Amino acid sequence: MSANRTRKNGVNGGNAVHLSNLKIVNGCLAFDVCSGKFHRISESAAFVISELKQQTPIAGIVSAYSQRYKISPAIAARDIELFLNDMSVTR
Amino acid sequence: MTKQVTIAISGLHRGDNPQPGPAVINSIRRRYPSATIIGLSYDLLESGLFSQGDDGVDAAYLMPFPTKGSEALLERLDEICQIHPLDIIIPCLDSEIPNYLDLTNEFKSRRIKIPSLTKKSFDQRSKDNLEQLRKAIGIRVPRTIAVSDLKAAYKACEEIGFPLFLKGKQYGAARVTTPAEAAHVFHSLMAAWGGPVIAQSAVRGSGDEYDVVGLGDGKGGLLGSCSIRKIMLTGNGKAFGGIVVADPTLQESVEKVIKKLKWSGPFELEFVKGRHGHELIEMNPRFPAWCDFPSQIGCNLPAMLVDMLLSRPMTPAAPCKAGRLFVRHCVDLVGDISQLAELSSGSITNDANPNPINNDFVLELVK
Repeated sequence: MSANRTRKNGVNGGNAVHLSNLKIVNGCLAFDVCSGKFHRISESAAFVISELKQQTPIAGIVSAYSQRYKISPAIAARDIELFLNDMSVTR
Repeated sequence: MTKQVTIAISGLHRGDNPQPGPAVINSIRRRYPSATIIGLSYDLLESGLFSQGDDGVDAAYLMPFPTKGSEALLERLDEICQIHPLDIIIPCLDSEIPNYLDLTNEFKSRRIKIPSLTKKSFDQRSKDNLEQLRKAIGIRVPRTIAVSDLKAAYKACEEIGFPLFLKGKQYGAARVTTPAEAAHVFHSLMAAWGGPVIAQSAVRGSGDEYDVVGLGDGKGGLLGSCSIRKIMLTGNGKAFGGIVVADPTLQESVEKVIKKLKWSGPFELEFVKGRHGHELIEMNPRFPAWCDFPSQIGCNLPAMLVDMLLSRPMTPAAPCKAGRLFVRHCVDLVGDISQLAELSSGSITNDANPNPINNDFVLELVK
């Protein structure tokens, strides 16, 4: 899973991504309508962001993610946590 | 008696530092294909003179440089009006605006409409007054110091700290990182634009640049606007591509500025995203070179300006949808030496009619 995002100036440099502003375009691009920034994302990243936008609890996302990609819940949980840290997502 | 509206537009060169004129012409023709467009040109090789497309001119005249002053401008415009009586003039270059403001009453007596900007609001948005604007309305601006000699420039650089930007009063800017660079840039800007030169702190943060084009109603209201993030830049920092953003915080800053200045007519606000939000780095008193992009997605501000100047009902500007984007595309225009010869005598008239009249959109001016 990759978000291809470069963080600058500390945690988010005043540029945190707000989920409500984030649009997934064609399942492969994340576009922040507020900042105008866009990032190529993997299919699995698009899946996690879509779940977050639907307010799915993290435990639910981990479960769905592990089933979808046929991996253990522990690996799924670590994968998702790393991704969220990378995105600095503000829910 | 009725006649087609005749609109004079300047800033016709679309080089690597493109001027707004052809974009304004294209936008106006999107709604009013039959309008007669007169180009006001300062050089035989301004690229817009050679366009046969909808951004081309029906006729063009060589103009005295703005440094010649308002009397020379009026004299030339009077000559032009004898051949092509003008209904509207839309100046598209920063350096021209002061002369047009000086001639406001002359234009009124000649029944020529120009954007009704006041000298007060023009001065209030000036780069050397950004600090006052910050105090008045509480928007963020980078630290800015106006200087008139090299000693003061060095002092300002020391106070602000490198890197910083040195900017001409009306146009031009360069990033400087050492006192030696500062001296070179200071002298260049003074020679090109006169004083003062403005020393402006470089905004620390993401460095993302945002531009907003809009149209003020002169009463503090905004008739329409479009905000973009620059996604491609030319070597000198001009937008070569941009994407529409929908940021309520940015929009709030824009509305505050326009309300405070009671801005009338076109403007471009330039922001840089700093650590604590958008910082206003300058406000241009004209349409930007990318103003035909919003026109293509329903927010035709130049056509609205024409309606506003003619006191016609205005078609509301559609909000620009976040995610729409533009990428500039350069083309080679074909000309002929005979065009240069004709224009070198002062004017040129294009035989071709690039804009056949569409009766649905005939713009008539009742006199």
